[in-house]
Amino acid sequence: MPELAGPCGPEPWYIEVGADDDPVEVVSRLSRNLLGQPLMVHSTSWRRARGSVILSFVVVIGDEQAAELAGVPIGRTQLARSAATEAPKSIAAVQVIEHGLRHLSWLAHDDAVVQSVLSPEWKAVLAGYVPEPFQHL
Amino acid sequence: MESDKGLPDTTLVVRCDCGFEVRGTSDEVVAGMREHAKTVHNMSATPEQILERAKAV
Repeated sequence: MPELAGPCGPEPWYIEVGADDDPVEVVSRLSRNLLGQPLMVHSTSWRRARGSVILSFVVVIGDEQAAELAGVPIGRTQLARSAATEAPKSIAAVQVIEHGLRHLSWLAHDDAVVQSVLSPEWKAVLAGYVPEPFQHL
Repeated sequence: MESDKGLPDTTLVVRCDCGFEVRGTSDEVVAGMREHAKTVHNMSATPEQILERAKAV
């Protein structure tokens, strides 16, 4: 079973991005500084919360990079469904993760770069996630 | 240890939303939390912002 881990353990890892910053560069740089070179950094969704617009990223790291980090198993959950022209009223952290892994599942089939960096173990886990690339979350 | 105001410097604890915690004097918690905020969250926090979250232990 995959685990959620990071510098903040099982808690969501929030990073501030300045007005002139490239979010992907900031996430990549802090991931590299704190966890070692990530295998993949990919943005998966956005939402408004905490007085800001929050971009969510899936950062894939190697098994050996997570050995010292506290983590929690990632279970399955329902997505936060939006209306046709409105964002969901509330979105839980586990729903952000579910959406991110469904997104990654789609990329594992569709994107050659993602296919090349994900291990067979990752692809096996993602096979259980229904691809849903365009769900607005 | 005494603060620069001549008052006894109590031990403080400051907890980040992510669970990270720093304990020590006001100078120590400010330094520790500023370092944590910058390296982990890419944030710049002022001493005032940090000490607003501090609790005496």
